[in-house]
Amino acid sequence: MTGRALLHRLGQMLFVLWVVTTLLFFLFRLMPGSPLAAYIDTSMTPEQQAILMHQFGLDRPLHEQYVLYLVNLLHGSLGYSFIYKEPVGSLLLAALPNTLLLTLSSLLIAYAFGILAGAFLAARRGTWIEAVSLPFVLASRALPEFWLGMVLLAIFSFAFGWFPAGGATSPGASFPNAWARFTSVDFLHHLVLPALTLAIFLQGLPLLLMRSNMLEVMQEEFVVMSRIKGLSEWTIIIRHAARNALLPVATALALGIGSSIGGNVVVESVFSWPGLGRRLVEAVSASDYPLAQGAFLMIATAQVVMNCVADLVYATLDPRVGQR
Amino acid sequence: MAETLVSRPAAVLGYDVPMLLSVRDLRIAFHTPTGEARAVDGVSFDVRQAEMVGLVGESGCGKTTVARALTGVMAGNSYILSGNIVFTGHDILNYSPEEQRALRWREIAFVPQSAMNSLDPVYRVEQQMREVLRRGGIRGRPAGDRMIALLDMVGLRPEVLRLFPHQLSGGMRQRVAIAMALALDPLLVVADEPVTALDVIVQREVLDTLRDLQRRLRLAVIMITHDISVVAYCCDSIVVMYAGQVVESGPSTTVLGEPTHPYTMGLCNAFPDLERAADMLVPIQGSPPDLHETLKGCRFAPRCPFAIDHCAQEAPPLTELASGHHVACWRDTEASVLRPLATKAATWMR
Amino acid sequence: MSDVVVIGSLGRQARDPWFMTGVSIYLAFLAVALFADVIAPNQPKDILFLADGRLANALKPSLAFPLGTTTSGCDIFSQLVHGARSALMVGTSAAVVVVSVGTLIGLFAGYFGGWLDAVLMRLADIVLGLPLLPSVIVLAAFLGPSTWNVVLAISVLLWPNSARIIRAQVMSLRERAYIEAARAAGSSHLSILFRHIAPSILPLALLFGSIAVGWAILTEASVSFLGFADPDTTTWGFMLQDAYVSQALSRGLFNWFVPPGICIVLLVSAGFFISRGYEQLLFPRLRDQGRG
Repeated sequence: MTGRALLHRLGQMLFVLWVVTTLLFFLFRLMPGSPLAAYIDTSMTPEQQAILMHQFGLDRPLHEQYVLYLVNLLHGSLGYSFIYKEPVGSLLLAALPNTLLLTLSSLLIAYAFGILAGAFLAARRGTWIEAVSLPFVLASRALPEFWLGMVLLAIFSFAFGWFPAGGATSPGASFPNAWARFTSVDFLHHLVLPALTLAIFLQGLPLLLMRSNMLEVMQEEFVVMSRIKGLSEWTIIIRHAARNALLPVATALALGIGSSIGGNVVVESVFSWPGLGRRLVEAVSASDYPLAQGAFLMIATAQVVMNCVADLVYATLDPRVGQR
Repeated sequence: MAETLVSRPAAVLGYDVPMLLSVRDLRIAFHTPTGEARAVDGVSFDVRQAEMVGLVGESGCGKTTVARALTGVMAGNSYILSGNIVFTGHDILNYSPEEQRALRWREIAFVPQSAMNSLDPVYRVEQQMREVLRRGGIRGRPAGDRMIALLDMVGLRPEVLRLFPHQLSGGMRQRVAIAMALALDPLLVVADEPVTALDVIVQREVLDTLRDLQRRLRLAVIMITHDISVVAYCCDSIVVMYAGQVVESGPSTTVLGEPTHPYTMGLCNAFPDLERAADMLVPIQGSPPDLHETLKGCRFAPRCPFAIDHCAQEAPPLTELASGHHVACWRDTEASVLRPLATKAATWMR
Repeated sequence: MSDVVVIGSLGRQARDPWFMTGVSIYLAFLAVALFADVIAPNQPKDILFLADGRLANALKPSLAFPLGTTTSGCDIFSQLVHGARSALMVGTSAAVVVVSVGTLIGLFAGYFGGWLDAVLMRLADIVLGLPLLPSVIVLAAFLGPSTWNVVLAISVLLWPNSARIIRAQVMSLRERAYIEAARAAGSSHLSILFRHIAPSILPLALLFGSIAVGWAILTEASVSFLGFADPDTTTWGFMLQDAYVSQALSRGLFNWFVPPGICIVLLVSAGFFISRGYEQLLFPRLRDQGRG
C-alpha cells in the first residue's frame, strides 16, 4: 500500500477513535446524578475527593475538563474503580490478556476449521453432504453464544465433570509469572469450553465465505487457464483458487478479532472468564462508572484498530488495491 | 537467439508436409437448461506443421468449443459425442487424463481471448511464467534466462516480469500470454480471438508479432476469430465454420480470392479490410439456427440468397473441389457466377 | 446486482425450499405469538402451586406442565410461548427501524452524493467502530431497563450495514437511462428518489430486514441474559438468565434452558434461510465496489 494511502487510513482510524472518546466523555457526564458521579464515589473521604476532582479537573469549565480528559487518557489514567478502589487502568490491563487469549484462540480454531470445511464443501457442491451440512452451518450462526456455552457447561462440566465450571484458573492456584500462568495446564483446561463455545459460533462465517469464494473463483478464467496449462490439480486449488478465495476471509478475520472482543461479553459472563467484557458488565451493573467507561473504551479501541488492520491486511494481500 | 529455441527440423510448407493435427467428424454437445445443443456437428479439418490456420465464423458457430476440445479442457456442461482428434499420429481423445495433461502446454498451448482474466491477479508475471516453465523442468537460472528471451521475442522488456497483471496494458497482456504459450516450445498454439479485445492499431502490432514468431519458430497456429480480415492478414489457410459445421476450407488465397460458399462470400463483404477501408459493409441478414433442434438440410439455407429447394431438403456434404479446397454447397460449381452477385448489397437485402 | 435481477429472482425464490422453510418458521412463531394467551395454560410469571399446596418448583415435564417448572414455580412452557411474542415484537420493531433508517440514509447518501454522502458515511464509519453488545449494554443501562430502550439501542447501532449496501445500489441506479430521462423531464429529486429508485431497492431492503430481525433477537437475548432488560417482560433471554442464576445448569434442568435457546436458533435461522441467496450481497464489506 502506498505511504499516502496508509497515512490516510491511519488518520481515519484516529478520527473515529477521537469521536468515540469524545462521545464517551459526554455520555458519562450525562450520568444520573451529578457530573462528578463519573469519577467520584461518595464513599471516599473529602481529601480523596478533592484530589480526584483536581486530577480530573472536575472543578474546571467543561472544555478544560475535556482537554484534561484527553491528556489523562493518553497517559493511561482512567480514573479509580468504585468497586475495587484501584486504578481502572491496571484493572483493565490485568483483564486484557485473558480476553485476548480467549478471542485469539477461538478465532484460530474457528477460522482454521471454517477455511478447510468451506473449501471441502465447495468441492462437494451438489452432493448430499452439502445439502445436509448447510442448514447446520446456517443454524450455527443463529446460536446465541451464551446459550451454547450454557449447554456445553451443563453437559461437559456439570454432567460429565470433564472441565471446570468457570474462571480462568482454579481458585487458589498461583503462578510465578504471567507467562507461566498462561501456558499452564490449569489455564488451558479452563480455556477449552469457552474457546470451543466461541469457536462453534464463529466458524460459520469463514466457512460460508470460503465456500462461496471458492465456488466463484473456480469459475474464474485464470483457474480454467491453469488447467489448460496442465498444472496439477493441487497447484490449481491451493496456489490459485484458495489463494484468491482467502482474501475476503483474511479481511473477515481481522474484522472478527475486533468485533469478537466486544462480543465476548456474554461468553465471559457465562464462564465467569475474567476478561474485559466481564469487567464491563460488572461495572455497568454496579454503576462503577470509571471502570465501565474504561472497559468500553478499551473494547472500542480494539475494534477500531482491528478494522484498520483489516483494511491494511486486505491491501497487502490484494495487489490491485492501495495503489491510490 | 530466438531461432535456437526450436530444436526440430524446419518444415517446408507444402502438401507433402506431415499432418500435425487432423480433426475428423468431431461432434460436441452441451447440456443447457433448455435441452441438448449440438455446438459442433461433424467438423473436420487439418493443420500442417508450421501452418497458420484461421478458424472463422460468427459467435456461436462452435469455433471456441473446437478450440477448447483441442486443449482438453472443456466447459463443464459440454461433452464429446464422437469423432477423432489425431495429433502427431495419435487420437488424443483416447488418452487418459494424465496423458492429456502431459500434452498440455508442452505440445499444445493456448492463447486466451482476454488475458486480463486469464492471469492470476495476485501473482506477478514472473511467478506465473516460472510456474509454467517448471512443468517443462526448467528452473532457477535457466528459467530466468528463458523468461527474458521469451519476453524479448514478443517485444517486451524484462522489467515486465516484476509487474502484476493489472499493471499491464491490454496489448502487453496479450503479448505476455503469447510469450507464456511459447514457454515450453509447443508444436501447436491455439489462439482464441487473441486480438479481438484490443484496439485496431494494437491489433495490428500483436498480429505482426504473432505472424513473425510463427514463421521463425515454425509453429503451427490455429487462430480463432470472427473477423475475416484478421485471417486475411496473416493466415496460410482458412476454415470457415457455420452453425457447428465446416462450410469451406482451404488455402487463404483460394478461399478469399475465390470464395465458393455463399457464407464465405458474405463474410468477405461484411468486414473492413485491415489494410484498406471498406467501401461498403454488407452484413448478412438474419441469425444462425438454434442448435437445440435437429436441423434438416443446409443450415445456411434460410439466410442464403442463392438457396434452391434442394438446399432445404438435404445437407450438402463437404467435398473437395480442388486440392486442399473443400466446400459444402450444392451450387459450388456455379461459384464463379454467384461471386459477382454476392458483392452487391442488393443481393443480401431481403 | 441489477435491480431487475433482484426482483426477478425474488419471484424464483418463492419456490425455493430454503425460502419456504424460513417463511413457514416465521409464520409458525407468528401464530404462537398471536395466540399466546390461548396456547399457554398459565401466565408466565405466575407462581404455581400443586394440589396439595406445595410450591410447584423444578418439576419435570408432565402433562400439566409440558416443559416442567422453574425453581420459583413458574410454568416453563407458558413462558416459552409468551417469549415468542416478545421476540417477534423486539425483532420486528428493531428490524423495521434499522431498515427504514438505513434505507433512507442510503437513499439520500447514494443519490445526492457530495458532502451529504461524506458526512453520512463518516457517521456510519463511527457507528461501525462501536462494539455492538457493549454499546447496547451501556445505552440500555443509561436509558433504563425497558424493552423499547433495547430496541432503540439496537437500531442506533445496526443501521450502517443496510445503509451502505443501499447506498451502493442507489449509486449504480443513479446513472441509469430512465433516471436521466426523468430528470430531463423535470421531475424533482425527491420524486425521482421515491418513485423511481426506491421501488428497485425495496427487495434488497426487505431481505436485509429478514436478517436484521435475527440480529435484533440475538442481541436482545444477550442483553436480557446479562440482566439489563425489563424484568416485567418475559423474553427467552430472560428465561435463560433466570435459569443460569438459579443453578439450572448444575442441576441438569435441561428442560428449562434448552427450549428457549432452540426457539431463538429456529427463529433467527429462519431469517437466514430466507435470505440465503443474498448472503453474499448482505455481508458487510469494506470495499463498496463489491469485491468478488
